[in-house]
Amino acid sequence: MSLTNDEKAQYVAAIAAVWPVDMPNNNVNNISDEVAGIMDQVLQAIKECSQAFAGVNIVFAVFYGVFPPSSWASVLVNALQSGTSVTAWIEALRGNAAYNACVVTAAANWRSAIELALIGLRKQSPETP
Amino acid sequence: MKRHRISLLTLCALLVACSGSETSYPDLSGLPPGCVQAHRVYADYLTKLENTGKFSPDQIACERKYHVMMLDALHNRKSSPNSGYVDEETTDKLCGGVEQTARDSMKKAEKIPNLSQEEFDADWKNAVCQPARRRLVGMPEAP
Repeated sequence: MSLTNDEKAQYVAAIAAVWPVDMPNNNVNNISDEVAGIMDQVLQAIKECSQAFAGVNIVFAVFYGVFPPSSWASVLVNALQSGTSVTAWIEALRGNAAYNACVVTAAANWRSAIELALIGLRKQSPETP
Repeated sequence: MKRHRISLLTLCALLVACSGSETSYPDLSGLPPGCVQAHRVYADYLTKLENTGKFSPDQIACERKYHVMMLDALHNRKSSPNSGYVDEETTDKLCGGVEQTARDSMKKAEKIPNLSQEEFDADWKNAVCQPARRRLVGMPEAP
């Protein structure tokens, strides 16, 4: 997987949205394939958990299509080009009591994995499968 | 002659019964042009997934039901219970993102026949009609 700078920037935005504080190594220079792979799993989990959200808020429809988990890089850029963003999506989920749990759960499950990946250490699995 | 007529009637009934599984999409008039285009690409994409033969008819039916739900949402242009409706121009632009994602995914789907079982499981197994989506479209749990 070879990520463009735009895609790396969107992964930085995604990480900042899921973990708004205490992620000091979150910058484009540290967005490796490993980091992107973990974030694909995080975003996929949030998407699956919040399926019904697409039906009540079409602004975020782009995040709820059928696409393989490895396609998140292009989805994040497509979203930006269509006037929305991963930041806005995660914020909207956080603002809804029913869907906030999706973000909180994913954040808790993958926090260590993403922290280690950002500093170049490998840890693929979430804390709780 | 009479027997032939019965056979033809039977054939017609079978055709109707088989075509009953096809999704009838809602009226597209009133949707912004970008959304009509996105719908067509997305529908083609679902057909491509179906034609790979790797997904069950049940999975494809589930995704088509979800597609119809999304079209209804686009018709209603819902944004959120609090902020009302999305204007036509914004909806059109949003659909551009949906269309592009469908096109990107279509390219990935074209590689499905060449994937090993492990690669298929890793990339597609959980992409099509997950349990939460099945519940959303009102389909029973997968066997």
